[in-house]
Amino acid sequence: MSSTPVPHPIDDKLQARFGQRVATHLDAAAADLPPQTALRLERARRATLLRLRHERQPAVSLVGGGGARRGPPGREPLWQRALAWLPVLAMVFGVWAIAEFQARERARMAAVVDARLLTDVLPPAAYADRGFVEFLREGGAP
Amino acid sequence: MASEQELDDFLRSVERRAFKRTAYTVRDDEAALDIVQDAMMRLVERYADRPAGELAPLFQRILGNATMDWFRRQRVRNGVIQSLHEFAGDAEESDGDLLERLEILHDAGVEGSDTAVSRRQVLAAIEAEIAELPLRQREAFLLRYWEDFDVAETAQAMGCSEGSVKTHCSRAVQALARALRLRGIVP
Repeated sequence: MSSTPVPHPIDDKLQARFGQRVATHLDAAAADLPPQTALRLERARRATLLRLRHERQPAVSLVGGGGARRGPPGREPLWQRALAWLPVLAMVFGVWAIAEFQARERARMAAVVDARLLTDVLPPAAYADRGFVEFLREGGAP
Repeated sequence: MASEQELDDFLRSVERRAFKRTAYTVRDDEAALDIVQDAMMRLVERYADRPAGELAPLFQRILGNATMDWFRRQRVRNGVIQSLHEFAGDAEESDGDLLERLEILHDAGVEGSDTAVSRRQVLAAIEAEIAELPLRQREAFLLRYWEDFDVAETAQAMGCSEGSVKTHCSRAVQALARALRLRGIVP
C-alpha cells in the first residue's frame, strides 16, 4: 500500500527561520555595496524623481499669455487637438487646388488650340491628309 | 497618490536589495544597475498615481519584467538559446529533516559562521548559492524572506499561484540548506 508523504508540521517554521537568517546575511551584503554601485543607484533614484517631477509639473498653455493648466499630459482641450489637424487639412486643400488648377489649364490650352484650328483658313480636315503633311514636311513651298 | 517624498523613501528602501536580486539573476552588475533604473522609471511612468502602499508589489513585478526583457534582448543580441524560465525541475527533496539538523547545529552554535569561516566568506558563499538557485525559486525565496512579502503578495509579484510560491520557497530552502551544509556553513 502506497502512502503519500505527510507534510512536516514544523517545516514552515523551520523554513521561515532559515529564510530569515539567510536574509540577515543578505542584508549585510546589500549594505556593503561598493561605493560606485551605491552612487549609481542614488543617481538612478534621482533621475527617477526628476522624471516624476516632470510628469507632474503643470503643462504650460501655448496661448493665453503662458497661463498654466493643470491636468495629466495628453489631455489637451478640443480646440488644441483640432489645431493639430490644421497642417493635414492645409496639405489636402493644397493638393486639391493644384489638381484643379492643372485641369483648368489643360481645358484652357485645348480651347486655345481649338480656337486656332477653327479660325484658321485651313480646314482641320487638311491635317488628316497625307499629302498636306508631306507638303508641310518639305517646307510648304509650292 | 504617492508624494515625491514617499516615492523617494520607497526607492531608497528597496534599491540595494533590488540591485542585489537582479545581479544574482543576470550575473552582471552593470546590467543589474541598468535594469533597476529601468524598473524605477517604469514605476514612475505608469504607476506614479498609485498610493505609496501599493508601490512595493508593483515595483517587484516591474523589476521581474524588466529582468525578463533584458534576457530577451540578450537572447536576440547573442543568438544564444537561453532559458528564460528555469522552472524547478529538480526532484522532490527526501531528507525533510535537513533543516532540523541545521537548526540544531545553529542553536548549539556548532559550525557557526563566525567560527568556521570568516563573515565575508560566508556572505560570498550564501550569495553564490543564492545565485545558483533556479530563477523562480530564487525569486520566491527572496521575495518571501528578504522583501518580507507574504505568500499572497509574492504570488502577485511573481504572477503565479500561492501554491507555486510555497513549492518554490520550500525547494529553494532545501536546496540552499543542502548546498550551505556541504560548504560547512550554518547560516
